[in-house]
Amino acid sequence: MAKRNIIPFGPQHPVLPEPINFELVTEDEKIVEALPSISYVHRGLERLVEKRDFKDFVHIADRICGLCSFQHSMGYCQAVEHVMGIEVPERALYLRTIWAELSRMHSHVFWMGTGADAFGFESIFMQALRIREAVLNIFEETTGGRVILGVCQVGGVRRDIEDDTLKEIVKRLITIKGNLEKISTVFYNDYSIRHRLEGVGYISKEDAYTLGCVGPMARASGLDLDMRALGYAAYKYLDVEPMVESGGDCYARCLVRIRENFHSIDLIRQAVEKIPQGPVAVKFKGFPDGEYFSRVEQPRGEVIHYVRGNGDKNLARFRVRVPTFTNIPAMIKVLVGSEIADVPNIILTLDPCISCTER
Amino acid sequence: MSERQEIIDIAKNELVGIVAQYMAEGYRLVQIGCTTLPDAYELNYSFDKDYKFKNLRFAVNPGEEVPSITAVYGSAFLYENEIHDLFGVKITNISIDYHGTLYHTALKTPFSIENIKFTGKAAAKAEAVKPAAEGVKPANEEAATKTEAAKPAAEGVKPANEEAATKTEAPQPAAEGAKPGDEPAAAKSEALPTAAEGVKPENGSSASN
Repeated sequence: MAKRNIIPFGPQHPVLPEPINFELVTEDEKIVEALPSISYVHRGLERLVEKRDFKDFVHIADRICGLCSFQHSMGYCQAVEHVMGIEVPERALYLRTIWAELSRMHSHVFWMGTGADAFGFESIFMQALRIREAVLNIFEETTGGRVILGVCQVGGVRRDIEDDTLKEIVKRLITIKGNLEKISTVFYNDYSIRHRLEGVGYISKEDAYTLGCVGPMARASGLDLDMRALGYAAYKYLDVEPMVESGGDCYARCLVRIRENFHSIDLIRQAVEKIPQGPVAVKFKGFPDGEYFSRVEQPRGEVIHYVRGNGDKNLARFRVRVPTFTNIPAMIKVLVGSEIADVPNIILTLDPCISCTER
Repeated sequence: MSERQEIIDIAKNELVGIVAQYMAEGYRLVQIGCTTLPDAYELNYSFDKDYKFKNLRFAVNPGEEVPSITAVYGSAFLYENEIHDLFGVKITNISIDYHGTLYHTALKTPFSIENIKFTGKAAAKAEAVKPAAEGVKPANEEAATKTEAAKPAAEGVKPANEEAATKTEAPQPAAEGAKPGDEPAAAKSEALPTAAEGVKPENGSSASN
């Protein structure tokens, strides 16, 4: 039997500048055990409901994470709206969908960049960030913010987008689509990327399901799991198709994200075609009294915002269960049995978001 | 959007059995959550199958032990460690037990009953629970217990009144319950609702007198 060594991965690591630590027990080059530890930057955001009233808290929900900021505020608003029985205007639902899909793109394109950087493709990193910049510019022009949008509010959205601007966005997305296709061909065809990712970090469909995988990680293993099928916001009016791959390895997870980018562009086009006229927010009275689990599909998978109010202006409890947190057990499963040199690739293709996890 | 969400109240000793049954039926463990109530901790076990969302729920008293479900759903260990570290609920036989080291927080068990500040109805209930827990039930009229319950709340009123007169002193007493690093604005906004609640029972008792 080979000698066992313990090799730490993180909290500081060149490929993942986010504080998560795995203690990897290795035998020769093979990992036989992995133990995660988190809580390097735990913020305790959930308890801030004691200090901020339920309307202000949207801004804190917005700041849980930078990459999925809008979807956090949307999930929170949906939960409160359900508890209070607020009917959100159709136009606001469509606008939320458009911003949510742009957020998904912005996150996935960023991921393509950092992923490529880790495989040694630095110029793709630059090109991906250039594409992301175009998405961020759309955010800036429509909301005023580039990363934290702060545009969602209980009862609707804060800002409207004019119809001309919406059409302009669709035009720009066509350009973005062309640029995305260019860098996607590298992921599809490049020998060294395929060589490094195919068959690495495999997780079967059954394991992915029982370990509670969500998002691209579950879909790459052949699970048709996408919370957009619940039909929240305006997704009920659009043709949403979960991007499912059957490979279950790092390469399949790449493909899922690349395909989701193009699907997001298509969803935004559909939404712009169908968006009705009308108000973007409703006024309401009273305080939330009740509870609800709101489920939203983020770039990394299903997020749960649990809200409980007891008729007071401050909520009694707010809980977020973020996708990365529920994907950690599956990460361990994937890591065990793989080579130590593949660990950075495996962790990156799982796309952990520690900012969310340390809420 | 309104998704149908089922909440099933169960007893603590049924938990592992029902969870095993869900596992056999092909449910996915979505999350385990905990809510601090004035006198207990409420645990929520959420499951999903084909977008059907089910919740198992039961409450435990402080100090009570809860069986782990990691033998059924291995992925539950993170949630269970989280609940142990943040709420102080004892969960027994977790497959990977961090023994309180998953979360490194400045304050031990920051979400426990002692550390949470209740507002609104829950605050009134929490105040009502405290004298009862002491076991000192005065055999007098109900008004007596009422004034007792109102006392701590009334103490909270004073600073708010003083705040109206002299603004400089106000943050100090109001910040007693809050952490020292708080903004005065936040402390003020907190002091106001408690003051409003405190006034109600006091007025009621004085009227009865």
